[in-house]
Amino acid sequence: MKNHTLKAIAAFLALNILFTTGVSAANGIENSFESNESVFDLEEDFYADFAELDQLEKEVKENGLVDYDALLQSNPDLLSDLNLSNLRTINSAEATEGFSFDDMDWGAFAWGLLCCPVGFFVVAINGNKTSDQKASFWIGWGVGVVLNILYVAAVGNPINDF
Amino acid sequence: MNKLLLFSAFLLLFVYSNESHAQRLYSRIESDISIKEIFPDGTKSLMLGKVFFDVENNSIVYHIAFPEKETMVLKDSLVLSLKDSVLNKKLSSSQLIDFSIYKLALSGELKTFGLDETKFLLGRISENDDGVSSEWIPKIENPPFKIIISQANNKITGIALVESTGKILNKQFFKKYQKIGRISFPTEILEISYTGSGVYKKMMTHSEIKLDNYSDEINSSYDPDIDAFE
Repeated sequence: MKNHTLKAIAAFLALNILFTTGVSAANGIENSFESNESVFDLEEDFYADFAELDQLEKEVKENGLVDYDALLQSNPDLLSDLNLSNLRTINSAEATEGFSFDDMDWGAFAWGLLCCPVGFFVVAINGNKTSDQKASFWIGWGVGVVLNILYVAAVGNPINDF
Repeated sequence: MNKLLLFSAFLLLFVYSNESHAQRLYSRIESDISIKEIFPDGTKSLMLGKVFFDVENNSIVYHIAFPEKETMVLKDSLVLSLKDSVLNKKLSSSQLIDFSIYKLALSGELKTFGLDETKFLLGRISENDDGVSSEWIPKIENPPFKIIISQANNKITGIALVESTGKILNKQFFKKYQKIGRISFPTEILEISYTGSGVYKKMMTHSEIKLDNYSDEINSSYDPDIDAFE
């Protein structure tokens, strides 16, 4: 039983290796990237784009943090194009509520399974990913944890072999 | 088999990357917070309130005042949304807290965004007029992306996720550092994501930051009674 489990896990991890590395030649890691210059340039219009929201924030604070409904009555123009999907703002993981197998985004799942820390940036904290994609990421992460626990249980901690 | 073991070890190290061994400087941080967003479709969002993070509880609590009064608790694998002390939504989450700016700041790991605890490979380090930038690369063959961290005066000033083609997917800027006790905290965090549907922008501002506030009247803000909802 233990051997079967080990073989199944080994086969799965071998597939992971192929999926991750793409059966590629051993190119140098650093040579595959372009220059870092200008990565941290901040667009000149960045702050200007937030002018309306700055004004709204000022208005709200001056009025003692009134709620949306109260502000809508007092100054509807300020709120005309606001998006009230506030959950999307602070909950990067969003919902797995109502999530079904058909909703699985397998790319996001792979990020969670194979490379969680980077997938965290690509999917989990990316405000433009859908809730299904984020749920898929976390499911992938969870599957990875379980597989590794199974693997360690079957063959011991490979770190000790180094 | 050796390759298999190496890969497994690599995966394990990534999965358990959140197990930091850094020294904790403080246990609590709280702040007024403003979150402004502009979505690719042009819609905008503003949230105002307070945020509380407690290392012992390992929870982030948002008490939102605008646009609607709402309490959101991120703890363990759950996100709970409460309105008038009634459960509004209960969502699944995972591990967000370990990479939160609050936890990284309190543990003194913000300088590298905790990446030095994740076994990413430290790549090229280059100096520029503003400071130093360092590449952190997944330790796999032909990595499809890298993370670049920019630092100045021993503080993180930016982090970017860049494809191997050079295309920037996401970048964040950490600005207007404020010295509070033994830590420096960026009171302004800017984020830009480049997607197929357009550009997403976010500005998060912290003010009135306090550390290790254990006053009786504030304890419930750090640890709202959510036992009934967990």
